[in-house]
Amino acid sequence: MTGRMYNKRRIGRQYERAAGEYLASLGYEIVEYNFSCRMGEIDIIAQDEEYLVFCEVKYRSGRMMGHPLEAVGSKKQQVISKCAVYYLMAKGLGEVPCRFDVVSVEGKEIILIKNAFAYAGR
Amino acid sequence: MNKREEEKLLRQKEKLEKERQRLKKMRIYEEEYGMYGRICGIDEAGRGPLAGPVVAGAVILPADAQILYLNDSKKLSEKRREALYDEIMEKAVSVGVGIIGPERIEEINILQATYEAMRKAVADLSLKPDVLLNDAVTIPEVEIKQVPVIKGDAKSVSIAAASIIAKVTRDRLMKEYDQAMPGYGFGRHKGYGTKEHIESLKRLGPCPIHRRTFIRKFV
Repeated sequence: MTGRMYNKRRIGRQYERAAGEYLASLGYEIVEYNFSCRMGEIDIIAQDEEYLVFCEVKYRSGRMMGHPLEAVGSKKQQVISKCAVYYLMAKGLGEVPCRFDVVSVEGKEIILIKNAFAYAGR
Repeated sequence: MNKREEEKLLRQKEKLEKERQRLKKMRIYEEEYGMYGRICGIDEAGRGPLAGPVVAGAVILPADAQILYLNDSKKLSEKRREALYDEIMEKAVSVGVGIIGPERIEEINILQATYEAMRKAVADLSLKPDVLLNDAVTIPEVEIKQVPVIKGDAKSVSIAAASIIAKVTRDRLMKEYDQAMPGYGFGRHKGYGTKEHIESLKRLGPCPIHRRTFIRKFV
């Protein structure tokens, strides 16, 4: 029982699904969950009109101190950016407009920040 | 008014002030090159898509223009873009648009077509500018002084305005094409290579506005 409850990976997946459903309700088309490559992982890849959105999901249980964006620091932004480039290459996608969003799941409250950061892959 | 309303008003004022400060930082190129005379921002939309035209915008803004929330078109919601388009049309000294269609893109390649669209946009202006602020490029065969600005659409109000004019003009065209040629989803993806577009392209084959050289690997 204890092993199940504290399985961070599982809890994470649940919140990612919740975030994904929220995005879908806004009109995003979910393309993929948990795309992983050597550098790291992208939580959600979705299509919003012409934009391919790479989304990081941050979850906090209960009251959160600080801005959700602070949880996605420069290192994380770099990792996500590099993964995004790899994704475009792996899928054979040419010039497609992209965007980086952050979804913060705080208990029952979900906050979306569109265009949370610009490409940070150097 | 009560305390709550007071706090709300104060926060609104702070937000407005913050926005004015942000906008101020986007005027540095306009201020630096102001002595040359009329400054014109240039940007394009539609270089990457598999279908449709490439559109360039040229905007001359007055020196004291205050267009709140003006930013690189890619950072704005569609709703905001549309609203800013109207505001720019209203407040600008002059706006020029250049459109180059898919057939011409096939003839001369997308880079040359983009340059051609930009030249057309400049020619379309009612007043001749003295300096061009470009988003990263230098347009060949243009006599006017040019200043290429890397990430210009985020750094300069004139270029940001041009990016909005270009993007909104192109998006509206793509929505019209969606009416004439339904099934591909042009109204949503505007011709870019999204999963929906590639699938519909494989299913329906190309239509007249597809750029044949761009779609070769899909059909």
